[in-house]
Order: sequence, then C-alpha cells, then structure tokens
Amino acid sequence: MMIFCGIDCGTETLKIVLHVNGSLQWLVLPYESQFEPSFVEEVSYNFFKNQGIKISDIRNTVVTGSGRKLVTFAKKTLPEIFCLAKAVEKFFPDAGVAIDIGARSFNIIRCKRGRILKFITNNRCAAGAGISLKILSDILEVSLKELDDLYFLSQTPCYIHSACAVFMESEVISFLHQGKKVEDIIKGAILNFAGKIATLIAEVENEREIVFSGGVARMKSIAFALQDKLKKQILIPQNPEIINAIGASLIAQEMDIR
Amino acid sequence: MIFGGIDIGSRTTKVCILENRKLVSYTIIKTTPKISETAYVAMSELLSKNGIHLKDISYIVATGYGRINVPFAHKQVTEISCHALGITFFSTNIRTILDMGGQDLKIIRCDEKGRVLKFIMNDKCAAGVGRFIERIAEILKIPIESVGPLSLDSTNPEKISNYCVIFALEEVLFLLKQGKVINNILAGVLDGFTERIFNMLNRFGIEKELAVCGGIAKNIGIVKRLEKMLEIPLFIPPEPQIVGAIGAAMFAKKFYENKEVFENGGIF
Repeated sequence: MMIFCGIDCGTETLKIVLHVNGSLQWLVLPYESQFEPSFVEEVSYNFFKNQGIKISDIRNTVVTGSGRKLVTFAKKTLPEIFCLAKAVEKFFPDAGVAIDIGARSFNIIRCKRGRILKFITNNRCAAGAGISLKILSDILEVSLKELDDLYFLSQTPCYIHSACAVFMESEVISFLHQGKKVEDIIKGAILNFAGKIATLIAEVENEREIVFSGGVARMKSIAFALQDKLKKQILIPQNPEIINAIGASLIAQEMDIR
Repeated sequence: MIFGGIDIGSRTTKVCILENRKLVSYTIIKTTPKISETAYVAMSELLSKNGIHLKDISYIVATGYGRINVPFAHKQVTEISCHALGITFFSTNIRTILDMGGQDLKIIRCDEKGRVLKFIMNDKCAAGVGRFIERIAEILKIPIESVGPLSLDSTNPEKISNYCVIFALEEVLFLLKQGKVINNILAGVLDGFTERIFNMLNRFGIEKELAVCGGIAKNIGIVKRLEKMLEIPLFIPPEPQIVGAIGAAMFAKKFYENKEVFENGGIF
C-alpha cells in the first residue's frame, strides 16, 4: 500500500488528509479548546484506525499550519505556502495566484508550476484574516452562516474603511447606533475585507487565474465581494479548507519517490 | 471676551471656555455616534454650569475627528495644530508633544509660539492607542482607571508576544485561563504597549521638553514606564485631556482678533 499523510494544524481546526493509492480521505475537526499537541496525535491515530490503516503503513507524513512545530510524529514540517503551491499545481495548473484565508492568517502566493515566485502573509495583524469576520458576527449577534446570507440582502451597503479589526468594530457599533440595517453593515464590512485582500492580490499579480482556498472560502459572500473587487472570476476548490493538507500529502508522496 | 474650544475625539468630547487667557471652565463627556448631539450636550452642560449663553461666546473653534459636525462652531482646525497651540497654555518650553487618544496617536514637534513643525500619526492600527487599554480592561473586568496602578504592582510581568490587539486579547484570555495573576498580565500588556510608543518616539526624534497628553496620559502605568525608558522627565498638563480643546479656544481668540490674517504655519 502506498499511503501518504498530510496534516494541517491550523489555529481553529485540524485537517488530516490521507492519500491512499491515489484516492483521498480526509478529516476536518475544530479544536475544542486551546491547541494541544497530544490532541493532534490522538485524533490522527483514531482517524487512521477508523480508515483501517496501521501507522506503520504510512510511508510519509508532512505537517503544515501554525501548530506544525508542536507535532512530534511527523517526518517533515513545512510552511503553508509550499503546500498551497503544490496543491494548486495539481488541481489548478493554469492558476497564477492563490489566496488562502484561514482563521488567523492569510497567505497570498504567486506561483508557477508549483514554485513560489512571490508571497504575502498577514504579518502580526488580524485584518484580512477570518477572525475579523468572527468579530463582526459577534457584534452583530448573527452566526457566520447568517452573516454570509445577509450579505446578499443588502442594496445600500454602509461605507466601512478601517483596516484594523478593532477600529472596524467601533465603526460597526456606531452604524448600529445610527440605526443602519444589519445587512448593510455586513456588506460594507465584507467589501472592506475583500478590498484589502484585492489590493494585496494586485501587488502580487492579477493576470492569470486566481484560486481562493482556506476555511473563509466557504463563505460565498467573500468570494462574491472578491470577484466584485477584482473584476474577474475566481476558482474555489470543492473542499477549500483542506487544500493545504492535500498539498502536504502530495509533498509527502513526492519525498518518497525521490 | 469669551472664547470656546470643542474637541470631538473618537471616544470623548472635550469643551472649554477661555476668558482672554484664563481657563474659565471645561467639561469632558463620552462621544456618542450622534456627534452634533454630543457637541450640543457638552456645550450646554458647560454653559449652564457657568451661567452664560452661547451668544456670549465671541468665537468657537472645533477640532478633533468629529469637528465638521459641530453646528455652532465658527471654524474648524485640525487637532494637530490645536495641540501645538494648546500646550503653550501650560508651558512654552515644550518641543515635542505625545498625544495618545482613544483611536489615534500623534507625535508633534512644535515651537515656542505653538506652531507645528512636523508630526507623525497612527490612526490605522489599534496596537498603540487607548482603545487597546479599554479592551484589556473590559476583558479583565476591571475599571480602566485601575489598569495603570495594578500594572505597577507586579512582581513578575508576563510576556505578551502578539502585536495585534485582537491576537493580544486572545493571549490575555489564555493567560487568564492558566490562572496567571491580573497584575502580571497587565504589566506585560503595558510593557509591550509602551515599547511601541517608545520606538515611535525614537523614530520621530525627541527634543526636550516632552509633553504627554490625551487620555492615556492619565494612565500612571504607561507614564511611569515611558519615563523609565526615555530617562527624561515628562511634562504632563494638570488636565491632559483638554489640551486640544484649549488650543481650539486659543485659535478662536486669534481668529476673532485678526480674522483671516493668522495662519498656523500654513498647511497643517
């Protein structure tokens, strides 16, 4: 059996992908509380067992994500951008730019045949990461799902311009006090969010196809707002949150061949 | 001759009235989202306290981020110019002003006449402004006034590694969950906060004397830390929050006396 494993330890969810003789099996699991390395191991072993796989059957494991350094059983750890580039090469060979937005980070890469030519990440700042959407949903007292749906109901979005998530929060609160509609505030905030990402994409390249992945890519509103800002179609994988983990498993496979 | 100055900040609104060069009275209230209403409330509170009418005030200047929404103001001036002029009310030896407000931070170089020579400003990121301290106080469920004193009473400051307020708040929550002492957490937060301001001051270049104003100047924890880092004494006005409003009232006097002639260093 040729089995390879890719694990993405994000800040909110753990993603495990198994590459078994060319077919994929995966698991996406949010952490219950703070990240614990032992939790990752426990979950991984259980997942392997449920799939009828012995740990000794796995030829190679590559771990990525912000918690990657804490996972002990992996052969190799890699930053997310390499895994992202690898997965994009495999599934979207014509794409030139990939954006991955997670809970606390985002990566924008310009790549060619799996090689990274340029990249931007959110350096020490919550703006443009999923958490700023969570903050928005918390102040407005709606779920992320409702947030996503309400975006499409707005005809007259509010103008929100703060890049900083904390200042965005103050802006949203003053719009609430002014009696603006929740959907208009949401659309304004999401357009602002997408605007920031679009500006960064333009810094990298905006000619070839763009892939959008990560947990935030599940939100249709963000994808629409991004398309609106970029004035072009973007490609979204079917399971956008596991892209990095798939990339990690592909790299695990490649390492074996070499 | 009575002149009025009103400073509509992002978190608080400050109004003061000057009679020639004497401070008659001032008030500080919270800014609500309805800015012109806040301006009216603050002004009428001050007027009734002193038994005067709006028409008794010869000239009113508004400043601060909400300055264009003050219906009764005759003119608007930026808060940078107002701080530079306002600080001369307290001392003419000030060359550098550090103004730490609720949602922005400004460092201003000024001359003895209160003219702005240069300035820098952060209003893009919450990591060095008052809102950060407010959020920390909220999360720790303590009044904002006790943040400073508690942070000074710490034996073993925690290290807060995150720069962004959002991430730093998560870190603070995590430390709380681990059962860390509030004083030590606060000390860690303020250490990081002060270091950011210290770096900004160094980049700008300090010329003595340095005045600290704005709401954060009331936070003893930050003031003490800054003094220690800079190794120079800081000048803190008796009421650090009203420097901008006093500057606005002083501008009102200037505008009234020689109408259009006065230009504060031109562009600012």
